[in-house]
Amino acid sequence: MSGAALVIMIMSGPDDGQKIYLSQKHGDGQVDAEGAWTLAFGRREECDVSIPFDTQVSRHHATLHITADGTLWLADAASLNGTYLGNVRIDQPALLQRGQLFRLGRTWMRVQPETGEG
Amino acid sequence: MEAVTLQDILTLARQESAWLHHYFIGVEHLFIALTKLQGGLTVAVLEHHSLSPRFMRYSLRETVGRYENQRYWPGFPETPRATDVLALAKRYAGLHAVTERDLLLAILDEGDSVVIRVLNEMGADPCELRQTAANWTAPLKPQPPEVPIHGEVSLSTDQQRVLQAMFRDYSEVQIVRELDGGYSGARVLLVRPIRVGGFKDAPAVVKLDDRHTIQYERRRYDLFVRGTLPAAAAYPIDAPVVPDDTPFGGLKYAFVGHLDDANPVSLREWAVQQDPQKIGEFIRALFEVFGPAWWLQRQPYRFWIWREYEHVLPPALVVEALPEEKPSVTGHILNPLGDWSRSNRVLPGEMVVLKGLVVQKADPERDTLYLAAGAQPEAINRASKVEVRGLGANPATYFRGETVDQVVGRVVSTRDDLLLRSLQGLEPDFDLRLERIPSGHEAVEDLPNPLKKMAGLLDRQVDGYLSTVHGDLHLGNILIGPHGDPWLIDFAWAREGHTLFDWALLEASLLVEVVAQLAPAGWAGVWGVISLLNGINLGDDSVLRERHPVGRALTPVKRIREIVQQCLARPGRWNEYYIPLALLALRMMDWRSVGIQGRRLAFLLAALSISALDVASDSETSSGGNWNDRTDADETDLQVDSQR
Repeated sequence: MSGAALVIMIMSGPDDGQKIYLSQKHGDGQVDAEGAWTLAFGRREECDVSIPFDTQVSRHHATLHITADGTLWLADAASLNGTYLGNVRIDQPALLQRGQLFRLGRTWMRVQPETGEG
Repeated sequence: MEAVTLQDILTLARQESAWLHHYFIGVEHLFIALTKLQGGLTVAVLEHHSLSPRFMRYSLRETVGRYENQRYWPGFPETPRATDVLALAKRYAGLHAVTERDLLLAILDEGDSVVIRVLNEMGADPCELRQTAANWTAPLKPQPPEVPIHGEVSLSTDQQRVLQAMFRDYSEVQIVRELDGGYSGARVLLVRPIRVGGFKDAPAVVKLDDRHTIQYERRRYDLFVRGTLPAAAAYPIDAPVVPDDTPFGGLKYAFVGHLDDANPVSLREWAVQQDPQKIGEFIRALFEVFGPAWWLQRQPYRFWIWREYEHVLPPALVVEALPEEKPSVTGHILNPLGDWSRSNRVLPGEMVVLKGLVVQKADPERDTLYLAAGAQPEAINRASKVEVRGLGANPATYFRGETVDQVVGRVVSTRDDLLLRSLQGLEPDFDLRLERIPSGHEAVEDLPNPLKKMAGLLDRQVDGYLSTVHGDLHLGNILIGPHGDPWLIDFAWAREGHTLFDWALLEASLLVEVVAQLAPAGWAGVWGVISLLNGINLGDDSVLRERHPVGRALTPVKRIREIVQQCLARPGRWNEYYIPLALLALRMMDWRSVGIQGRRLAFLLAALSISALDVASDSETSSGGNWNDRTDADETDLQVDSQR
């Protein structure tokens, strides 16, 4: 699925309500041989989802894997302040539902049900 | 009480955001702001659903957390979600201003904010809250937030309310001090508004006065002042604030430029500590800064003194009103601008019928209505002043500018009586009824008694210039900025008028408020000042070099005279100045904020100016030039004098 796309909405903080459109077509993230797509989250500007103003977000904080069949896996990237699914801190990759809230540092976000394509 | 505006809510939201060190406006800050509107819909709806607004705030703050105190951007930008919510609220408001209800419904309908999540966590159903909010009909009384006012100046509740309303958008207001404004009942304060987020604004001068005066002042400013001020001058930036339910209003003059450390002082405060030389230089600078737009843009103007100066004197008559249901009463019929107001024709005890005078002010507390010829502050409109007492329980039903068809009453006092009473208050050591006041100093002759001369002065005609004048240029209305720049405030009486009005008032104010303080006690001390001033009148500048501080203190007066000389319609014809000076000095005999020495000096200044006038007139007569200010009016004047 070379045309995979995803919309993430920031759910708190100064960018609350902002939508981030990500797509393989535009070169966001990494796609491996099996077609799994990996997106990087962090404070660094080079991250696919950059959260510059949350000082509790590590430079590279978490990753989101989207398998070829569209399943979402959220994983912490050894961040200082942790990655949360709902109110639970995750220590290994966790299955993420579209629309489910997760948190990096103090910034909440979610993957939108829509794809953002078309 | 004024309705709560979106601006009020945003101010509260910013306060909340600043307190949390967020420095952006999110939906959570907007909602917390709504929960802080005491008596408002949000509080009512939350309480209706057994939710405590306070606990709601606590939970929201706990969820979003307080940040480190670090700013990444200036101001308080809205989050994308807050922008959406505000746009939705505006849609709900339609053509009207956004209300608390619009914003509350928008927050609940948007449905994705932290607020909704926290409400859900608390077991509240946002849909039910929405239902309640949309259908709320019970009366509400939302109170705008209070802005804390700090400072050691005591204000009445009404004055505080006006100040609150003026600075609604700020997180607090510091009153630096009271600029000693004066005698008119107005309060003039130097304040430092502090914005949400901690930044201090440049200091502002706030004038609190009765609401009508404030509104008029703004209008006068628009008519005469705006556009003429140099860059460094004070200017009002906001529309006047006149809350519906107080008799007060407020006007704010802000200053251009950054004045972080220096606060302006009034010339009245400054002048008592400064070297007279410096005061003189400052006055010269004032003339040079404002002159080109004001006193130097002038047109020839031949005028009756009373048209420009009657209004500075006490009212022509004080009248006790009689009940309306006595139509049979007959008396002098007094129309606006008739000569009754300057001829002493009407005597105490006589019946008068006032026709067509205009209300200047109604004072319910004193049961007094102040009437004059017209409504606007042009000098002539304020001639024919009459105070009417005893109009009954409700003089407040009269409004400023209203023409009163007819008032019937009995004269209680005339202007002469009032002036005589003021003079008695000065404990004179001479007979008040004498034509001439026996001199109290060997270098000065006996002086004419101003009370005997006043009516004659009013009926003179002189040549002068017409220009924009400030209209109340006493020391308290001139401020000194941080770099010594002159600033003016209080434009309530700005108008086109006699060019020398401002300078005569300034000289009299300087003498009465500053120089008189240096004089030794008693009438003898005041006569000493008069003898030195007489020297200046006669062109003898050696008095300025006197060792005695009073002599040196007259330096600024000399500077004023140099300015006047430049503004005289006819070179060397000083009547144009001495007559106004005499009348304005008489007015100051009544300035209650001035000590007794100052008021004594005011009286003798009037006398000295009239004596200088006689000399000037004589020399004019003898010079026999083709220009002459002794007109028909002066003939009348002489006649009147000879009759007494």
